[in-house]
Amino acid sequence: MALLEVRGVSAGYGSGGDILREVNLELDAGGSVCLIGPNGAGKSTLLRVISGGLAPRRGQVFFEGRDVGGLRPDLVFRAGIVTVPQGRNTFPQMTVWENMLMGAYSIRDRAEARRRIDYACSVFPIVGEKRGLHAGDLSAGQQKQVELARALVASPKLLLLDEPTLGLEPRLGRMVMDKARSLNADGITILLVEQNARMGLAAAQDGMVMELGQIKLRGAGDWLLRDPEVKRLYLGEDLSASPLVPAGRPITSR
Amino acid sequence: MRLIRRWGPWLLLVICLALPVLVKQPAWLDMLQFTFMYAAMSVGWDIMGGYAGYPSIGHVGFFGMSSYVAGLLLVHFGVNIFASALLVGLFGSLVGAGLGFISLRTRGPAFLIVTLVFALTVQMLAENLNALTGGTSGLYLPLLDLPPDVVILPFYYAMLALTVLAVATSTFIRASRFGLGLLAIREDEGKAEGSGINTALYKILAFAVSVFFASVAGALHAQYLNYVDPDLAFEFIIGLNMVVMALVGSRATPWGGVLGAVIMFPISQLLVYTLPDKFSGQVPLVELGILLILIPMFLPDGIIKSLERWAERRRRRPRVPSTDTFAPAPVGAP
Amino acid sequence: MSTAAGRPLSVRNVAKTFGGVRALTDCSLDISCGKISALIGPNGSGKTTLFNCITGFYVPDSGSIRYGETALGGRLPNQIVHLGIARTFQVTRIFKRMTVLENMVVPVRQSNWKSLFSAAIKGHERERAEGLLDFVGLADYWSMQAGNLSFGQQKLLELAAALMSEPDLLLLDEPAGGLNPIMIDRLTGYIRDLNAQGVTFLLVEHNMGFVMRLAHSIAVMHRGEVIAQGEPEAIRSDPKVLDAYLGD
Repeated sequence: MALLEVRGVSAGYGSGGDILREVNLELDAGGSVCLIGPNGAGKSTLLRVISGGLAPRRGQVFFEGRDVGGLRPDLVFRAGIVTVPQGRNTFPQMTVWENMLMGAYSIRDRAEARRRIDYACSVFPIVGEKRGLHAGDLSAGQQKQVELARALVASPKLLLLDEPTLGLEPRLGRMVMDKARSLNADGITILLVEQNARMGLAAAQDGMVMELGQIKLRGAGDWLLRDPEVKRLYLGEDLSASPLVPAGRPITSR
Repeated sequence: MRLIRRWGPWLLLVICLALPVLVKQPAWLDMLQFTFMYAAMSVGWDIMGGYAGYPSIGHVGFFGMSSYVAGLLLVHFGVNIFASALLVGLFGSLVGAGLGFISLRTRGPAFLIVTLVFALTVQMLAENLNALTGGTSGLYLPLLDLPPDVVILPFYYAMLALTVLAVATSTFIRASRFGLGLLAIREDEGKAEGSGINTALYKILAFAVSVFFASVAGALHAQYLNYVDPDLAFEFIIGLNMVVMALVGSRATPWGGVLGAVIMFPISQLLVYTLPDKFSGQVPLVELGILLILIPMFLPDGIIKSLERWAERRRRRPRVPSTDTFAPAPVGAP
Repeated sequence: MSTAAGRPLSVRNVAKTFGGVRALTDCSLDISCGKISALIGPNGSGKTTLFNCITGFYVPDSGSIRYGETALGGRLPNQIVHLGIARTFQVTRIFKRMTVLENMVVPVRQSNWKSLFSAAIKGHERERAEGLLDFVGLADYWSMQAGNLSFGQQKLLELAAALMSEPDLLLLDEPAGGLNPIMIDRLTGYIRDLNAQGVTFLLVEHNMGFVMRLAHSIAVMHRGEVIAQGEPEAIRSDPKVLDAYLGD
């Protein structure tokens, strides 16, 4: 049984039309998928439906066999689906440490909570370094690391990452992707959306191309990276061979 | 629908102008006069609270202050209030500009508190500057020299004129660069600053215009009562009504306050007259309380905006699927 | 679009601390007029803080920022716009409940009281707005509520609106962030076209491919100061830069 199964999901906002049109998706435990595609294709919307932020108009979302479509976001969270949304989502008036405590909000056992927070800090050292500062005073990239660390505290079974490298310097972007890959190797299933398509497809096992609310293509990450049509339509110029870029650097173009 | 938009207001105006000829009972005209007063104040309030997004709970401070200023001008200098009302209104605007300047650094809740403090302070001044204002005993104003069945007319027409002026001002602002700037301030003040808008100037101007109508109303109301005293002039429910009427009608619309006043005031009057005496005193407050529960729950955007949204849903425009590939984007429905 | 009205921007020894964070320590930078300059550096090196100081959102604790002869420090953001400097934000900021056209018209520079009370959207302004919307491919969306545009479209709207105030210097904070590769190619073209018409650019970006393609000059920031500034060739092989940012 797949860990996550999205069956015929259509969804949209308010009184607008459908953004997702009968999307079908299966993700096995331990897998990782990167969603790429044009802006407006519905990638973030799909993540939102899975995490409970948006109820599907039609279709179901199954997680570990349970129908979670339309479930309240906090219940989806407790089921083991943790989201790191796009953009800045720290609590800016709280300190970094308090943000981490928020990640541990639903953990009853304080010792366990402490352990999880320490673990998250070991993966993202900057959290420990800046623990006393207000999260809103950190730069965008530093805040993103805090958010990722906070997500880890909750021991997710499925981690949804919406544009994790947005705003991050290339080094940190690579680090985040490496962490995502190693978290996946440790057993956390990952579904990520990345505009930095090359980086995303290289980090995930599988890739999926979304356009106009539907999944158009699915395949192994490196296969999609090499497919000429995919390259032409979604990946843009490959600048890793450009002489302008420092040598010995697998530069990813967005 | 378009015809109604274009000619409706003029028809309404003609009806209101002609009404006193058709309806002779002073009680009806009296009720309408109050409805107009509240409509004007509410529309004025909305210029700051709706367009600029800075709600104030202190407009009653300007109402009361102007009651005193007009009253004192009448008592000490014999200036007829109908003659001085507009000037008193401008004086109120001046004070409003000053208050706006003082509160430039405040946002949202802090601004609200500043306006509240202003109203309470002016009320305290009125209570304590005995020699000037007569303190808690109040100020008695000379009666108008008119027969009882006609005396309501100048108030009726003055308040009607004030309402027309308020709606015209609000409509004008909405269509102007100034109004666009106010909306931008409401949406994202920092971005508005970064787009070149002098937000300080805009906010001060908006607040000054906004309190003008409450000030003129206060001046006229003093003459209506022939009496000014701190409790009546600064009655908090006046300020609350202004706000709730704008909320009921819809904020940031020229007609929102009018709709709110037309709905709320006549109903409260009706209840006051039909309910037994021991209940009737509480009617305004109870009505306000009920609306403050119902509106956020069922019509958080007010009536006008909710109707607009409902009409749009009936036309059912689906969201244009927009993508950012280099293929030409599909043309949108609007 | 103005042509020769640009002036050089010079930042000298600017420092800025807030909330316990020393965002800028001793920042100095020169932006020549008519060129595309890029500002790169690790997260937290102070790039957006510098932008905020230049555009009046922050007041520097010390140091000076001059645009030609005019000192910028201490001026309000709206005054900076009137001097000919416009900006976009790291996280796209547009007026979501206004239409696209209204968003475009807000930044028009107005010079006197009369214009304050004139119609919100006048003929010639509307034409300019439509021209700019056409330039970024959003012409058909003029009456749409800006919040309903997609992420990439909102970014383009923010850029087009910034152009409405006819800036000589345009500060773009991560203009390519979150855009898919195809859109980035489009954006590169827009920036080149505008630069050819005389607009000076200062971009903050992490996308090195994008930067290397576009920039005439690159400044590198690290821990609140500029550690290197020069042509792309020189920067990419500068050991300080590799150490701080480009290397592993």
